[in-house]
Amino acid sequence: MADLQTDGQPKRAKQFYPDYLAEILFAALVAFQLLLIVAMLWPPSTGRAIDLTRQFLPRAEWYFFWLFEVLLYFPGKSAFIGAVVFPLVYFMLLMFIPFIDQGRNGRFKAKIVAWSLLFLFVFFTILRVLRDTWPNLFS
Amino acid sequence: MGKLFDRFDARFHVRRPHKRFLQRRIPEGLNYTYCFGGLALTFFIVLAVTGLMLSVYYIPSEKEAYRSILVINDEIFLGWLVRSLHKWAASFFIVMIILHTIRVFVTRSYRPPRELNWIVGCCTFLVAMASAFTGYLLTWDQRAYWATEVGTAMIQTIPLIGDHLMYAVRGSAEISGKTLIRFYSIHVLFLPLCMGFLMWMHFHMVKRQGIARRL
Amino acid sequence: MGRREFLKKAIIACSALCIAALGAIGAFLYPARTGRRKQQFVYLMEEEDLPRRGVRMVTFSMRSEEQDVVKVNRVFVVGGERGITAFSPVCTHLGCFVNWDANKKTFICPCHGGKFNINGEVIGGPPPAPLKKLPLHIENDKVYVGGKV
Repeated sequence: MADLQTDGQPKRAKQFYPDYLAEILFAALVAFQLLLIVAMLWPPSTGRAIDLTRQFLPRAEWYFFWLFEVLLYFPGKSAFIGAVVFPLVYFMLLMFIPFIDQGRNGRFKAKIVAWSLLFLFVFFTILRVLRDTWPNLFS
Repeated sequence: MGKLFDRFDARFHVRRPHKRFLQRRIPEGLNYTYCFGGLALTFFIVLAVTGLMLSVYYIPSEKEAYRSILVINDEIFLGWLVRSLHKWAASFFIVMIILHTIRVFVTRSYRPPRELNWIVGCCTFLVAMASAFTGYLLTWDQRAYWATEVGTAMIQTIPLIGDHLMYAVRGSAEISGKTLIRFYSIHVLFLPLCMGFLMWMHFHMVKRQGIARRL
Repeated sequence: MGRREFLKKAIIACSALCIAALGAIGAFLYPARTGRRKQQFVYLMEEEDLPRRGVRMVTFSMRSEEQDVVKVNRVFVVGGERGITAFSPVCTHLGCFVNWDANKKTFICPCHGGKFNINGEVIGGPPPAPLKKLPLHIENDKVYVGGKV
């Protein structure tokens, strides 16, 4: 039996309660403390009131950077591809990963899809951050 | 457990059905990367609680929204902290969803019979992103206005129906007070309801199917 | 009609009702069109302040009657060989406001780097169409700009 330890004593199988629950609660507690510290150290600033006469450089939250960056590469009428088709295809691929992972090379195909999705997200996010930090980097 | 709980359980019958759930066996070899989903839930709870608190003081109107944010930030006791927690928890929430997705992919836990749970998880991610987007407008400042301007204008690029869709999302031709109240309603009612339902499905399936064994 | 038959029909009727309800909900959520938006002229500047050559950013305020708020907006007034033109600052790409770069003589959109020349035509970046021209109207030495409310 796999549940037997070397000294022959039967080991109690790990249960959700209390073993796993304790671990999860511990992790949750640590995570909340971390959140509290971050929230206290860097509270969000209040922005300026809306003023259409003033110049403003729009900036999305970091998790939308990648979409914002992708829009750059689709000029004119093709903006539709960057703005709607790309995110839609991205999401569909993510959703259908269990169905890509089928057949003989399923896992391999799924790996390619999943890691390229992650790569796209990280790559465009980094590109956006670079562009924001050094506006003249790519021109 | 205590007498009080016995009385309670005699009415609600929660103990017996949950006993199996609580005492179910957990496969060996789980490490702390299996916590990401639970941590996402933790941050969601923080979001829900701080969101409820903020909704008491926030005024979703074109004239007063910005002012009410200032009041929350500067005048309400600990208002700045609640706002900060809400904002940071949103970021942490999304990070945790991404990490959780990676973990599920790496351990190949999405395979049947869990493929439906993967899809539900993807929908959760979508709702989280939508919440982040609609919540961003509520501060009603320059940043919020322009981010939403670009975000909603993306819808307009759809051929034929783009204009109508954008009009439906904004509630008016330009971003205005109507957009604000629309986004407020979506952010505090529609999406949390969807999220609650999706999360219930997610956890229910985890409960019924168990945690996938490590490969 | 048997019980089974009746139940079948009842289910079909309920489904139809649900679909109809969904349509009604959609129609309810779709914002009401408050008539056609009227072109309205508002005071912009004095005629003598119009730029002969070059670009000037002018702000004006407009009262939105329906929502009872005053909106301040801006417009670029361009003077050149083709006379006076007013350009809406709205970038035709995704609606950010362009800025005038006097050194490069271009309107630059800060969002995705769209570029327009002094006549509002696209010279670079993703915008699909030239900057929109707004109608100007001069009366008694005063310049009015047309916008939709």
